[in-house]
Amino acid sequence: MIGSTDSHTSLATGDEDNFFGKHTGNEPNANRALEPQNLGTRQGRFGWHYLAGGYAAVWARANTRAEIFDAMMRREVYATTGSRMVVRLFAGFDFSDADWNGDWVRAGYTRGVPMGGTLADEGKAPTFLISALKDPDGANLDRVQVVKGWVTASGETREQIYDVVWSDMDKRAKVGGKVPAVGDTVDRAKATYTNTIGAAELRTTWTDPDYAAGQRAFYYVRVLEIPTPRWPLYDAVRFGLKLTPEAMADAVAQERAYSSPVWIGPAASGQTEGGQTQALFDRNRLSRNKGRG
Amino acid sequence: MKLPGWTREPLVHFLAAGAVIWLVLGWQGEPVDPASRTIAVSADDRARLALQWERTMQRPPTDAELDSLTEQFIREEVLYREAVRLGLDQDDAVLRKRLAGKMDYLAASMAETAGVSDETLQGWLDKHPERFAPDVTYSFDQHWFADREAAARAVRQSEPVGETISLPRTMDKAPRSEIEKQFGLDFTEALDKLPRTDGWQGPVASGYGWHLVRLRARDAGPVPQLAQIRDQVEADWRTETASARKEEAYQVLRGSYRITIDR
Repeated sequence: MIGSTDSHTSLATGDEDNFFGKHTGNEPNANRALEPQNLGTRQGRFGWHYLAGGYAAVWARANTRAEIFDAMMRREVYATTGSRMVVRLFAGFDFSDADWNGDWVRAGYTRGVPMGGTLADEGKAPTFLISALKDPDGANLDRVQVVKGWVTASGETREQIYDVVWSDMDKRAKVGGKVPAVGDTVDRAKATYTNTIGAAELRTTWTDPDYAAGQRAFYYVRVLEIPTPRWPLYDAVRFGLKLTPEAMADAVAQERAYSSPVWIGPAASGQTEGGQTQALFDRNRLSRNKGRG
Repeated sequence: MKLPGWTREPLVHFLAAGAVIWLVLGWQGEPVDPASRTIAVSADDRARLALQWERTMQRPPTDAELDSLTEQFIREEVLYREAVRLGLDQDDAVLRKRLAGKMDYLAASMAETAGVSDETLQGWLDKHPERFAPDVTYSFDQHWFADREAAARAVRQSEPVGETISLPRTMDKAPRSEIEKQFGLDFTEALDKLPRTDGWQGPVASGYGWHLVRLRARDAGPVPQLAQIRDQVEADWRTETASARKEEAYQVLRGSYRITIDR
């Protein structure tokens, strides 16, 4: 699980409105958005194909090296394309909407597993507590999706995307099983947007409607922001540049966060789900101690 | 031989003299101000060039280097004067900016160079302790509302109730950086400006929407003594004073113009 830059600038400028280029050769200038980038390939790759970068987020119990490594080893992490969204995911079997009224994070940890965890199948559909809070200095949220993946009996991999909660749900009813687009407030001439659409926070209790008993599956969460300008549009405005139609079509995008999955599968014989998780933690601790010698 | 009578008329003499001057000048072309064709490089100028060199190179120039600097200076001066003669200084965006910048600089120069007394700086430090205290903390309660009207209605109640969001209802002795992480920059800056009172205030804007805030305490923490942070306070005072002077000077000048904007 990673969200990051691949830039060679020693700068932590991870977002669209302060993109300082992948390396010193394409620091902000009037040409970089449209220049061909022939790194390894000779065709069809231009400056605007590059993304500004992203962040990796870790749910650690404390801001210490040991706790952060522990969190990564138990995969309790998510990533974003550059916004600082706060994403929570818990999976269990007895969550309900009533949990939101109390200390739902505690409930998530005591009666379920967090993102990155494994859940032993109890013969009924898993239920998820999902919460996404927007970046306070960023764009509002459009929707939250759950992506479910599994392998069919014949060995093919499958994925299914569910829209589980979205802004203005009463006004944006699903059409043909899909949630209509949130809209677009981006002013292409000025590279600005307004938070007049979307929501500050989205949360829901979601139960898999297509659960099949005994099936191994993973579930991860994807959070989409409302459309915002990408760096080529900021460049175009700053340098009075006219983007090509292809670059213009890609100059506005929905930034997103994506979580580690929760895995569900048959319980190993003689082991409870909690036992499995504990075994995983113990193994991690063991390998770390080994590493230290 | 007797000349005709009109040749003795003073008016005729005057016109003839005028015609001669007009012809001579017309034939010579544009009058030349001899001063504008003289470039005198004074000893002071050469000393200044040498000093500039020394600042960059960390040593004085040799004679040959100084001569070459002088040649460069003359070249620039010649081209500059010719450019002005051709009117190249008109409608040049860079020059406009540069000259406007010089006016700003003049306005601010008093604040840039003037010595500043300890009393002034102590006053500045007392007025803005939060800028210099390393760990200012806030204790407050907040309620969140999606829209402004709901927040504005609720602020009139004695115990308002906010809407649900995953933000802490209450923060105790939280450092500024922590508040910025949780609530964003807009909210944190608004918090700096809120007076400390026991009641609910707002609506205060944040990236999430609107908040009612009960600011229980703003503790600037220990502010260092002026002697320890004099440079920092002085720099802050200069920056703020300079920009205030620039704005003041501009407003005075702008007031003397009649400005019309076609829309």
